[in-house]
Amino acid sequence: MLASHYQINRPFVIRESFDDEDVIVNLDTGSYFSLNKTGTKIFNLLEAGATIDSASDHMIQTHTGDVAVIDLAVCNLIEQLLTEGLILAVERTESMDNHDAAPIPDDAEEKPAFTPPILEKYTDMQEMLLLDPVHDVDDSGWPARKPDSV
Amino acid sequence: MPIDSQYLKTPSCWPDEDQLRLLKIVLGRDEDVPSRWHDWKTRVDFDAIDYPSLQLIPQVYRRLKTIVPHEPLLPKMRGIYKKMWFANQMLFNNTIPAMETLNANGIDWMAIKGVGMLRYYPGDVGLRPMHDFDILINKHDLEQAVDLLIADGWRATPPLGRNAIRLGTHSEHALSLARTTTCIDIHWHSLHQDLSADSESDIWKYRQPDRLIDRNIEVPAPTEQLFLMCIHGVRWEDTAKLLWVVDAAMLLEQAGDEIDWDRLLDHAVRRHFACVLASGFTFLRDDLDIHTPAYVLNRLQTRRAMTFDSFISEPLEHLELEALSRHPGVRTRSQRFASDAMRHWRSAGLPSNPWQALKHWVMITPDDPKPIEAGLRALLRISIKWWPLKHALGSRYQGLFLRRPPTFIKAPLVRPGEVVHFTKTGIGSELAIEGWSAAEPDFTWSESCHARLLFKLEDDPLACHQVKFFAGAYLPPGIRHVSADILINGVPMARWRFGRDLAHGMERQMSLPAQLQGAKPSQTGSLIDIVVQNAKLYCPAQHENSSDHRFLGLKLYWMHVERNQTISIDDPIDFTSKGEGKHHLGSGWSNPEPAGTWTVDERARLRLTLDRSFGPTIAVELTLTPFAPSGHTQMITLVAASTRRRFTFDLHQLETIVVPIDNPASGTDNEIDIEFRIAEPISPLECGLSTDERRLGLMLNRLRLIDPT
Repeated sequence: MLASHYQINRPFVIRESFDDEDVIVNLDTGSYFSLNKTGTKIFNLLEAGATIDSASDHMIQTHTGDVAVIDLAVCNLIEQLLTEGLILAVERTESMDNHDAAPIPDDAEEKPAFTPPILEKYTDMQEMLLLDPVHDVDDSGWPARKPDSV
Repeated sequence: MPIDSQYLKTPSCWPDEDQLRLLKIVLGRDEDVPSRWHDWKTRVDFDAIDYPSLQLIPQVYRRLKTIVPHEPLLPKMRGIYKKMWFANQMLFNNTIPAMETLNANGIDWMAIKGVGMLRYYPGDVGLRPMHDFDILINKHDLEQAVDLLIADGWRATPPLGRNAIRLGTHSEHALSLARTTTCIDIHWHSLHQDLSADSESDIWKYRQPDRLIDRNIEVPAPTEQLFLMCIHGVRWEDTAKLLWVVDAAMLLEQAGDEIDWDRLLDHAVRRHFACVLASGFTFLRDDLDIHTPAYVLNRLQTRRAMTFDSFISEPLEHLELEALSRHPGVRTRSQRFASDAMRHWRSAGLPSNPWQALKHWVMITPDDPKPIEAGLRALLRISIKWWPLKHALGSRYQGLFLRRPPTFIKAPLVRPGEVVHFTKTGIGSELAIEGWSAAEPDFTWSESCHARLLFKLEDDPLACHQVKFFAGAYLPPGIRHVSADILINGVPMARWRFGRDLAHGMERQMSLPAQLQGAKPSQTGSLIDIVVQNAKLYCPAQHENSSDHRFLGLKLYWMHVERNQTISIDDPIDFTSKGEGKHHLGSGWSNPEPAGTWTVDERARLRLTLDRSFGPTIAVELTLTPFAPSGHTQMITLVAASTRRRFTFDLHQLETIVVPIDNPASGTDNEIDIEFRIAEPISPLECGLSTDERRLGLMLNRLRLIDPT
C-alpha cells in the first residue's frame, strides 16, 4: 500500500488551515486531528500526487537531518493517515499533479532542520464540543485541555 | 429549587458599552482596532466574557491576528474559532442525511437563520457560530417530515406525540428534533411572533439556490434574510444578542445591492415589525455607522407612529385589554407584561422573565402549581386558566393561559403648562401605567427595563409641543454612568446618560415626534405614550449596604408639556445658567453652568424651533469653547439632521463659527436639528485637573440663527 499514490478521503474528510496549524476532521468518526508544519508539508505533497518515496525524497532534499530519520518519519505519518481514514491509497491518475515539479530550493539556500511531523488526535467529539474553550483549555487554546480540568 | 444566577441578570435589547466596543473591533476601521482592543481588554475579564461576545471572538481573532499579531490571547481566541468551525462542520455533516431524506420524499425545505447567513461569510464557516440547523418547510408537510425524520432516528425535544405536533402547528412556529448532539429546528413559520397564514409566502417566492458541503440547498433572498435576522436579533434577552448586528453588516456589505428595500418595507409593515426594524436600523446607523437607505428608516418610523395610533387608541377607548392581545401589538404587550412582572419574580427569588419562568417551571414541577398560580394572581392581577396537556403532551407537562380581567386604562389629561409631579401628592402615578414604583416623597423610580407613561395632551394637536422632564438615576458605587432611551409614540427621541454629576437630577426636554404633529385629532386624540427603556437596572442591595431589593433605573421628579419655545432670526440664545438655552438642549449635555453648557457624551443634540418657516438655507452662528487641556485641539463634527451634511472643525480656544444648514423642506419646516460629535471627550479627572468625571468635549456659550438671504 505504501508505494501507492494517495488522495484525501473526501467527502468524509475536511481540512482547514488556521495559520500555522492544519486541522483535519474525519466527519465519519467525528475525530479531529491537528497537524504541525512538517505534517502539513507532507500532507500537501500526498495531495499533490506524491508516493511515499517521492514525498520522503522531497523532505530529504528540502531539510537538513538524518536521512533515515526523515524517511521513517514520513513513512510513519502516512501510515497514521491511512489508519485514521484521512487518506486513501489509489492508483495514479492523470488528474494528479506531478509533485516532482514542486520547487526544490537550490543548495545555496539555507535548508531548515527537519522536525518530525506530528498528528495529534482528539476522538471524543461530544467531549470536545462540551469543552469550554475559555476556561478548560491551556494557553495553546481549544482543543488542548488544561491538565487540571475535569 | 436553586435559581441559576444567569436568570438574575437584567434583560437587555442593545449591546452595552463593552459589547459595542467589541462590535466596533469587528466592524470598524483597521486603524482603530488596536486602541479599541486595548480598551476592551482593560475593561473586560476575558475569562468572564458573556456568551454573545464569545460568539464574536472568531471574527475578532481574524482582525487581531494581522493588526495586533503579538496579542497573548490570540492562541486562545484561535481555539475558540477552531471549535466553532468544528462544531459547524459536525452540525452540517450530521444534518445532511436528514435533508436528503426530505429531498428524496419531495418535501420542500430551505435553510434559514444561521445557515442562510453563511453565504455572506464567504469561505469560512467558522466565523458564524450556530447551535442548530434551522429549516423552513411548508406547514402541510410538517407531519410527514417529522414522521420521516423520526424513522431516521431523530427525536422531538421535548418528546411530543403526534397529537401534540398537530396541535402545535396552530399555536407554535417551530419544532426541535435532536439526534445525539445535533439539533434541527423545523420551522413552518419563520418568526414566532407572526403565525399568520401567508406569513412565509414571500420567503418561498424569492428563495435562492446556495451550496453547502457540495450539496445544493435553498436559502432566503437577501431581502428576506436581512428582515428575519434583524427581527430575530432585536429583542429583549438576559444579555443582548450581538450576532444579528454582524449578520446585518455582512449581508449589507456582500449583497446590499440585491436588497429590494420596498419589499422589505412591505414585510415590516404588513407583518407589524416596523417598530422593531426601525429600532434595529437606527441602532446600526447611530452606533456603528452602518446605513440603510434614509427613506426606508423614515418610512418605518412614520409607520411606527401610525401603527401605534391603530393599536393603542382603539383598545384604550373601547375594548378590554384582552382584545389588545389579539391585535398586532400583542408582541409588545407580551414584552411589557413580562418586564412588568420581572421585579415581582425577582423579589420572590424566581427567574427574572416570567415567560421563561413558567416554561422552566412547567417542565420541572408540574405537580404543584398553586404557589406560582397564587403569586401570579396576587402580583399581576390576572386570572389563570390551567390547560391540562396530559393527553397531548404526556403527564409531565401542563400549559396555562394567562388573561387579564377586563380593564380599561384611562389616559389622564395633561394641559400645556401644567407641571405633573411624580411624588406622593402629585398626579404622576396616574400617568405611570407600567414599570414604575409607587411614588416616593420626591420622585418615582422606574423599576423595569420598559417603563411607560401615558397621557392625553389637551391642546390643539396641530401645535408643536415639547415635553420637559426633571429626572435622575440610581448609580451604584463603582458604576460610572447609566443610560436610558426615551421613545415617544414609538419613536426614539433621546438617549439620556447619567454620570455621577447628574444622577441626582437633570432637566431634559424633547419635542414631540413630528409624525404626531400632522395627525388628525380623531386618530390619536393627542395620546402621548412615553417609554423609558433603561439600558440596565441596578439593585441597591447588591451594590451597597441597603435592604432595598428593587432593581432601579431612572427616577422621575416632574414632567411639563408646553408649546415649543420658538426663536427668531438674529436673536441670540444664551446657554449659560442664566439664559434660556436649556430649552433647546437635547441629549448629551450637562446642566447649564455660569459660562455655558458642556457636552458630556460623544454626541450632543440641539433642536431649534423657528417662529416661522425658513428658506432653503439658514446659517447657525455658534460660540464654542473646547475642553482641550494642555493646548490640545478638540475635533468637532457638526451634523445637520435635515441633510446629514457634516462639518468638521478643530477647536483649540473659544471661537465663533458660522455653519450653513440646508433645508430640503424649504418654506414648510421650522425645525432645525443639530448634532455635535466629539472626537475625543475626556474628563478633567482623567487629565488630573479635578475630580470631575464628566467626559467633556465643548462648551456651548451662545447661538444665533442668521438668514443669509
